Amino acid sequence: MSSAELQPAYVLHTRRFAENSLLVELLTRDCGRMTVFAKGALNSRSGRQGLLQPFTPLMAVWRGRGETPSLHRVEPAGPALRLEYKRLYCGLYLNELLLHLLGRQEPQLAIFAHYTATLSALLESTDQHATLEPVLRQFECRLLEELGIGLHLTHDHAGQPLNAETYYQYRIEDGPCLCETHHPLGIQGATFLALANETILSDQQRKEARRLLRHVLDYYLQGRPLKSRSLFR
Amino acid sequence: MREPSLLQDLIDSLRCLPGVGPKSAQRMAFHLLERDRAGGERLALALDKAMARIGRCRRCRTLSEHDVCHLCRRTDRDASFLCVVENPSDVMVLEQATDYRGFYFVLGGRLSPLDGIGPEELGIDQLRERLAEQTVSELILATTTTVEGEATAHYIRGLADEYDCHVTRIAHGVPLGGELEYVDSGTLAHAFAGRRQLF
Repeated sequence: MSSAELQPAYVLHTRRFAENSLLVELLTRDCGRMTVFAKGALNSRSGRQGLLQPFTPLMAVWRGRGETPSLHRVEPAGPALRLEYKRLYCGLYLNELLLHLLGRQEPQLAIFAHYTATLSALLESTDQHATLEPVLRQFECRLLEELGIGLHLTHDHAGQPLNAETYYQYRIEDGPCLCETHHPLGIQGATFLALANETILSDQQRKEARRLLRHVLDYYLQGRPLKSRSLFR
Repeated sequence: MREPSLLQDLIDSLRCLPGVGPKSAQRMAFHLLERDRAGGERLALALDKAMARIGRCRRCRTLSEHDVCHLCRRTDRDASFLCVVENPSDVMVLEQATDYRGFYFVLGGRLSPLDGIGPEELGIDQLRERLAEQTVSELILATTTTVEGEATAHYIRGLADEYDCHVTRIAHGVPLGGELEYVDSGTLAHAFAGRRQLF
């Protein structure tokens, strides 16, 4: 699939290929996740090495058919987002999640927009878990939604609206199911509703939301570990 | 199909070197066999010894044939400085280019979760032990300027916060003799953000 004109993109990951070339995983606005071949990108004269880094808004053109077209032209679309410390780990986490969950060359317009918005939110955030975690949870919820495997956050398995005070256990197939208060896997209705409405999460809700999303994501990742989680320890 | 032979085996083996394709491998093999047998034998012996005996230094994880490398054994170096680099080759270039007189720690890579490289793969525990000795007053992070190199630097900084040591990062920016017009925008942005006062 060739792109006729410059298209907005972000680098998710690069892998060295042969002596001085790169295989670049891109998240593009119109074509979704793409793997492109950047020949000679590591040559000091190519000027591409510094550009083909994650978190730099790019405009790219690629040519060729098949799974791996060649990167024809790439230019910066803005300054690189300078994510630091935990915000940088969060950025790497987003990239790892996208690489594992997105299929190749499936147009996902909304995901590109969410990704861009999430990077900006990370940039403006502080290094505190209380501000970073809600940004990640929101991204995860939206990503799952766009992939057609969104969470049931407002109604339980029987179709009843969730009660903020009640505890539920989340089942992938059915959604929230009533459970006893203080059940080890129980999550309060208020946490589901806060995620649905994208409102501020309390400390307890943050923990529950993390547990919920981890449970759901681990299911869809089919046992593949997310290495970037180890950076937060 | 080619007949398996010692010659073919040699050509195929030479191809494990970076930048060596089938043609160059063939040229090298013929050169060694026809023009420089003594050189070939020396090479074979050196390779054999190096592969068998070179391991990692117990202190800094650089490549060394000794349990503790020659740099770590030096007594005239300043133990209050520790420079963290990604690869053993970085130690060599820093030694050649700077007048740094402290010690090194070689990670053997950089944090790259997407390639499956996390803190456990980089000998972070060993670095922690080194910092726990409390001799280091300045930890210099000389990891690459890629996003992964930055993540590594931030991770180690977080680690060093637990110990009483000052953490610095090597500067990145405009190359010497470089004209701004030809410097890529990312580098220029870094150089600008990292500007410093002229004395």
